[in-house]
Amino acid sequence: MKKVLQVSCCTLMIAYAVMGSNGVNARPLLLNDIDPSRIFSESQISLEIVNIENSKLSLQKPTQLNDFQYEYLLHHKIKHINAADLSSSEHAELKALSSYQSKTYRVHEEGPLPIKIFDIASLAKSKLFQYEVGQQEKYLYEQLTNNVNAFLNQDFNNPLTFLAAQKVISNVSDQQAKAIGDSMITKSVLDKNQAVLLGQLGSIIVQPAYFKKALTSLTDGAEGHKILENMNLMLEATDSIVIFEELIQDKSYLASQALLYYSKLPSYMHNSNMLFNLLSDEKLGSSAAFVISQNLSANNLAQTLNIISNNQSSRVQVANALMTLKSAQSITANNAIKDLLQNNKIPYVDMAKEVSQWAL
Amino acid sequence: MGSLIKKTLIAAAAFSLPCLALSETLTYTENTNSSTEAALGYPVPLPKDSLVAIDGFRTYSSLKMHHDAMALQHAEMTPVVVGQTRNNRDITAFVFGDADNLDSEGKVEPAFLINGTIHAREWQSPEVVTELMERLIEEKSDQGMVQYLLENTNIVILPVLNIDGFLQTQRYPNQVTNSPGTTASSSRLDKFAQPRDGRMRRKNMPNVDEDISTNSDRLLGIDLNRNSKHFFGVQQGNNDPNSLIYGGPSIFSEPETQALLEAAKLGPENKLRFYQDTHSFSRVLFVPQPNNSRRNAITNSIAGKFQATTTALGANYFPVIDQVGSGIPTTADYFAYEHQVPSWTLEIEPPQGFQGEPDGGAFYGGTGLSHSGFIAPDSAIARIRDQLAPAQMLMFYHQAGPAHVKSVRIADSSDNTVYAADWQTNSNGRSLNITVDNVLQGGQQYKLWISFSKPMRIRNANGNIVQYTGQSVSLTPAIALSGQSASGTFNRSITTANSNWQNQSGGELSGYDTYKDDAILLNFTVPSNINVSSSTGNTNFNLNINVQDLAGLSLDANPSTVVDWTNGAWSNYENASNQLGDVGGTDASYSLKVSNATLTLNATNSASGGGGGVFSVLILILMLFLCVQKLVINNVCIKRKI
Ligand SMILES: [Zn+2]
Repeated sequence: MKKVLQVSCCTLMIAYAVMGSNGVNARPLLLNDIDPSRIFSESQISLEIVNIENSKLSLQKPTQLNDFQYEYLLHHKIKHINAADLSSSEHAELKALSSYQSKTYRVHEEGPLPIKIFDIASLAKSKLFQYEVGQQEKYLYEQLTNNVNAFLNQDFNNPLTFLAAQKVISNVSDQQAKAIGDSMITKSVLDKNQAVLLGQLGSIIVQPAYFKKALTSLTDGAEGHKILENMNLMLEATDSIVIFEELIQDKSYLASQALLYYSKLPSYMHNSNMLFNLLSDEKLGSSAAFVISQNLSANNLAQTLNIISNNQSSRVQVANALMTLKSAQSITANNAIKDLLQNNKIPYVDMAKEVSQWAL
Repeated sequence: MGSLIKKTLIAAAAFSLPCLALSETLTYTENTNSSTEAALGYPVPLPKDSLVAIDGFRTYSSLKMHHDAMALQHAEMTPVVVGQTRNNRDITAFVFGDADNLDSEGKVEPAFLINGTIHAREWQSPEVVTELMERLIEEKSDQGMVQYLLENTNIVILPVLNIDGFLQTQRYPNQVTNSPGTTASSSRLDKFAQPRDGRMRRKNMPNVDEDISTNSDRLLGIDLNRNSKHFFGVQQGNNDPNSLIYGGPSIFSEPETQALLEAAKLGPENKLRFYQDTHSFSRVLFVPQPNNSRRNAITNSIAGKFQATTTALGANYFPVIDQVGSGIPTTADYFAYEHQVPSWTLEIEPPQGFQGEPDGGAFYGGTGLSHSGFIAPDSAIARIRDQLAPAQMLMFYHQAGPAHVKSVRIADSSDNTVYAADWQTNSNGRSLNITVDNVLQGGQQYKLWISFSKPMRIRNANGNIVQYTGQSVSLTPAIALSGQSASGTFNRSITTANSNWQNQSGGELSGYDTYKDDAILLNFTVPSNINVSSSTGNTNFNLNINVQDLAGLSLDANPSTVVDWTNGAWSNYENASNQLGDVGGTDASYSLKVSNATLTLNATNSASGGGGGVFSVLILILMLFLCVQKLVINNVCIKRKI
């Protein structure tokens, strides 16, 4: 285990230098800040846990517990509190525990940082937040059963409302889902969180139109990738291909992911023109190359080789055409690569050098 | 209709159920806790296929194809297979730079090594490292910082070292095996204090199968960050094959760590000036301190600059400085102790132990589940990548070395060049080649153009000179004319401004030289109120140039000896008093002739006839005194910094 300098002048110097220019004075808790008796090794932790499991220790008799045992049992207790249905005493306890200061630590594997073994405060906060989301969910559900518009008029940009709305939607009937979705889809512009909810509805009642509207409305965010993944799992190829192609041609932020799903569709459905045109795209060219490689017909092979030997082709096109041959992993494609090398048909020296090192 | 999802979920669940239920597995969920589930409090990230950066984590196969395609497309990025993993997968390092390994003066370039994904479960690492690779390529023609780095340095990046382990974590992205000593039947209490296989695999995979349910091998593997030469075996657990930090049977026993050494040779090793091993989590830098005070001072200084840049972008990456001489067998310690280069273990966020900021997964509103910091949510990773790339780029720029003056030009109001000097490379270093050395006139206005060996400034979207994110350097160049007049020494500042920096092409006396903002162009008037003792002849005016680069490194005050990196510190890096060190200073190598007829005739001196006398002796004594005092002050400064 490493030690930190006692009041390391270097550490302080750096910390204060940054504080001066940025108003930041935060530093993490360091190992030196913690009494060594509060630091547990992995084997000590295992031993403590086995001891607790083999004992009849209980939070009811706190005086019999050391700090480790107390925090272990407390953490276990909070973890199993049902956040959907908090009693007032549980609520008060969680609130009090939200500022609990941990007393037991282990050491970071790579350096002198203490790590709380049981993050009781965070767990308590998380339970309280889940409770609030649950309360909001109940409220939103009431709104929905009264009137779809009342539900739709909520401020989904409020994070709590948005989370609760996602939960409501995951439990609605098909009929309710359709009512919400049909109303949303008529809007000319959907903001981000509305689009995410619509995408979620698309997964519930498998509506290509919902997926399309949701995915083409989104311009960033992790949720779009998830919705696209769901769509790929749920829609028939004839429905999904239209949406994939729209995302690809719009160069959506989801376009590369869409291309890789597209590669799994039967190749007779592929739009070869679109794919070959994309080979010149700096960002999406390699994804298009992969799609073409997954079914390298004689026609596509000829077109690929033509790009490589055509002196009008850009570097990007040539590189992606070569990637097409590499990703095909077929005897035909490998032979084509060997032929290109043997006959010096790769127009860029650095590319030819890299290709010559490929294990074919 | 909804049944389709349910069917998918059932299928996924069935797939994940161990066929021979030997090792107990736990599934990470967003919100549900049970004896086989653990809630993170946010959606569990699952790797996605995409050949561009996304709001999420990419699969290994996507990352690899993306790296390979970038390398093929761009001559500035070359793949080199540096070894194979235990399970025989190629480990590839990528070398960024121009075709030769030589800088603009024909010297072997300085090198940097960035290692990624040595620990399998640290998914933040390959994303952060890939972002750096993407920026080096996307900005390769910026005519500024990145192009300078590609043309004058050799950057080696190894994005995924522990491929076998990384694939195992992606094979079971939401599943993990239990800690040792407990089974499903033995305990009703919470377990997983030390989760070890599946999503939480850290080590490599020798004699480990890819089936999470196999009980016998779930603890096996070697911690590739404990397999290095220095401090080998010093920690409890380093010799226990079941330990999370098992160091392996011998030093560098693992093909993966051997591959890292091969990657270092691409530098080559003796040209390395920076090493970073990229981990998660904690939002700190662990900074080794071998017994080398100059190396440590430089390292800690740049760690502070790294922190300042990330802090300005909203993430305080705090440098945790080791005790001198104390270490563990990490790769960061290896490069610090073996090669004396600035090196560290970067622990990407989430943070840990910062007051007012929740730890680990709770930082993202999660439950604070043990080890959840290894599972950052999809929604965080794009921000994380963006907060770290500029800081890492700044480290390259800093360690490329201090700038020196390349050329000085002075032209009169009719655009006739009256002074021209260039530092030219020769076998011993550089010499100042003065091609025009005409006499200047006091009271007349001239144009002054000075070019430097690297881009010195960056600009914002509006084209204005700004600090590099989070840094605070003197943006305005300090230029002065000094010399010896009849009434003593003089030192007259030339008025300068940020607008003197040149980002238009044009070269000497009209724009930048090689890179945007590598040159200044300004007008100045030669002062006429300098006392002279005779109206004939000339007085020498020294041109003093003092500029910091955008990372805060001052000029090499004596360009005739070429700065390099030796034994963990700068060599041939002089300050204004021509003393070697790590600080640099004012370059006063340029002597201009100014006609005495245009300066101020000093009556007293001209009366005494020929100058000299007691007065001059007094001045000489005063100058000597000042000079000695300055040396002493500088000595003290340097000592204190060390
Ligand atoms: Zn790590």
